[in-house]
Amino acid sequence: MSRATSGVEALRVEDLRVYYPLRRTLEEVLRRQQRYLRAVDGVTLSIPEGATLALVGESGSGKTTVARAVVGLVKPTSGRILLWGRDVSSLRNRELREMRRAVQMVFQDPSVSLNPRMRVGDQVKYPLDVNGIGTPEERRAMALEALRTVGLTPPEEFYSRYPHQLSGGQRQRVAIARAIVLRPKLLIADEPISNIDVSARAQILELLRSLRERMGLSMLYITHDLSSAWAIADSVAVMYLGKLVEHGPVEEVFSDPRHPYTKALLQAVPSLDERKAGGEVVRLKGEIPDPLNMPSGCRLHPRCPFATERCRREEPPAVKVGENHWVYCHLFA
Amino acid sequence: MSLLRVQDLWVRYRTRRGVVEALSGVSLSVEEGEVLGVVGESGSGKSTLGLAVIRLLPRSAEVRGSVLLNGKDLTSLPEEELRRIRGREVSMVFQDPYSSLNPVMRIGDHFVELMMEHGAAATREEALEAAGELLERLGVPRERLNDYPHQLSGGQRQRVAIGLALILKPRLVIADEITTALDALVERQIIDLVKEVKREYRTSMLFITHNMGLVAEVADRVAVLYAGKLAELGEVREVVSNPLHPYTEALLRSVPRIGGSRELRPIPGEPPDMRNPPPGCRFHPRCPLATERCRREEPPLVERGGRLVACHLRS
Repeated sequence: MSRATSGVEALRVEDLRVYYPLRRTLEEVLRRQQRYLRAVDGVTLSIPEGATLALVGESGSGKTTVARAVVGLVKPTSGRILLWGRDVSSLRNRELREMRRAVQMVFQDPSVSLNPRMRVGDQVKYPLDVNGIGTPEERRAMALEALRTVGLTPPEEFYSRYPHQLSGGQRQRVAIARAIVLRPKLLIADEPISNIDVSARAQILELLRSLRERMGLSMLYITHDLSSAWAIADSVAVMYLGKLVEHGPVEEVFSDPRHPYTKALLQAVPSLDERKAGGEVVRLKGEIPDPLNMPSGCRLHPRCPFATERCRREEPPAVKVGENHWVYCHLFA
Repeated sequence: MSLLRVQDLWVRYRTRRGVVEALSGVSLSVEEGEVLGVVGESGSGKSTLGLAVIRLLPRSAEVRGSVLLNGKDLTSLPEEELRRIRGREVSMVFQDPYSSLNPVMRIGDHFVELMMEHGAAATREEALEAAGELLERLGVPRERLNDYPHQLSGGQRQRVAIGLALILKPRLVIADEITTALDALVERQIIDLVKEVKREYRTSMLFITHNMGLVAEVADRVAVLYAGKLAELGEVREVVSNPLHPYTEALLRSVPRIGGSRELRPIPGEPPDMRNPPPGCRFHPRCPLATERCRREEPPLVERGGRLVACHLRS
């Protein structure tokens, strides 16, 4: 199910690294040493125009840092971010502003990302005000249109409400309306359903999916919830401790996961169906290690039941295991 | 006799913005050795139910009805007697393990305090010995007894909270969204642990969650709550494979299943405002099958093939 029609890539991330410097101890200051937290450590991925990529992983995997780097909220330590083929770091002033407008983000918790004292309509209108688009009347009309698009109807009524007068799902719709009012081409959605009620989750996913169709959006969907990735994405990339472990088409990766980490993640999902007999059960040992003490070689090796001497020493290469399906694991090398 | 019998339980909160009826006449029971799943969204009353059973509701809450544990009505027990029962006969594990952990106390001291207070250990050493043994069975190294809560990982903290809930061998454990705050793989470890506890200790549980998949894995029977009322109650396998209440069915369908259809089928509408719940069947504004009768009359809870369901279409 690929939506890539034009061959154009909306987003390309090349060997992205984001290291956060750590506060130094006195000894480190004296020795002129600096330690880093390697939040993202060499990630390459791409989203064809019109497609949705799910970036999945647990907390500490670096998935949110990737998103923040793409929208310019953190500065990459190295690597390139290309939007529609253009390196963001080469853009200046007007071009950069236009590019930023084309990429909008929806955050996890609408009760944090929305201003409690501002009418929701005004919040949706705000990006238009800031960018000085149209006349005041036109801006109001565009905000109303965005509210209607996200299903907050009648929009005139919702315009003058405050966030506390809305349900969690409705608040997330407001946040989405604010993100689409500038008519972006790429939407970054960072865990948009994890802080809302179960019955609203499918509604928000359905909304994102319909926006993609109606507005021709490309999407980077960040989540720890694999079943939502299944429902919404064309392809999936799995991250562990700052690195990719596997990526490929959703249907293929989820039906035939190769990396032990991907397998363990999929098997961890509580399931309505009785456990299928057979199939190799992968349980990883322990919990995610402290990212300040990153394991050598393959970062999963201390927890992986299949780890060999080689996994302890060498970083695994990218191995192609199917059409557009890659896995970073010595087992397949 | 059922281990736990909740009879016609009503709970109301007075808030600044009006009276909220969190539970409106809920009755259910938990048998010896059974795990009863309680499923619902926020506002369904599921957490209120757990807190009402162990009587930890805020003082402002008005409670009617009875909660019989081993035949003793907890709603009318004096506070001192209740303190003897909490931990010893019924205990609770919360979403956030810090709810049962004191950040400035070592893990071991939590066990020592609890056990000595209940006369379950004569000496500190005896308490630590028993605690260490239990923690090891729960997958936490004994040495952790010397640590403070913040020195543990999130999964270990939740294991310790489970240990504190089990150490006095209560007959009933109330687990309220105990895996919700955990990462996927740690959640899996805790689910496996709960199943093991169920097998080994035969502890009865009230397992509260919003996740139907989780209930399907750990519970024997499930109670589905909607807006403070029981919608459906029955054997988990039957409810999951053949839901009788339209809400249960919609809830099951709304969660995408990996490997299944990639179609999304959300429940339409919004959960009700509990200060002013809809008349008749509380689910009617969101129900695709609602009739005039559903708008007017509350559906009674009736038995259908060993299952309880509150829906006019089934009566």
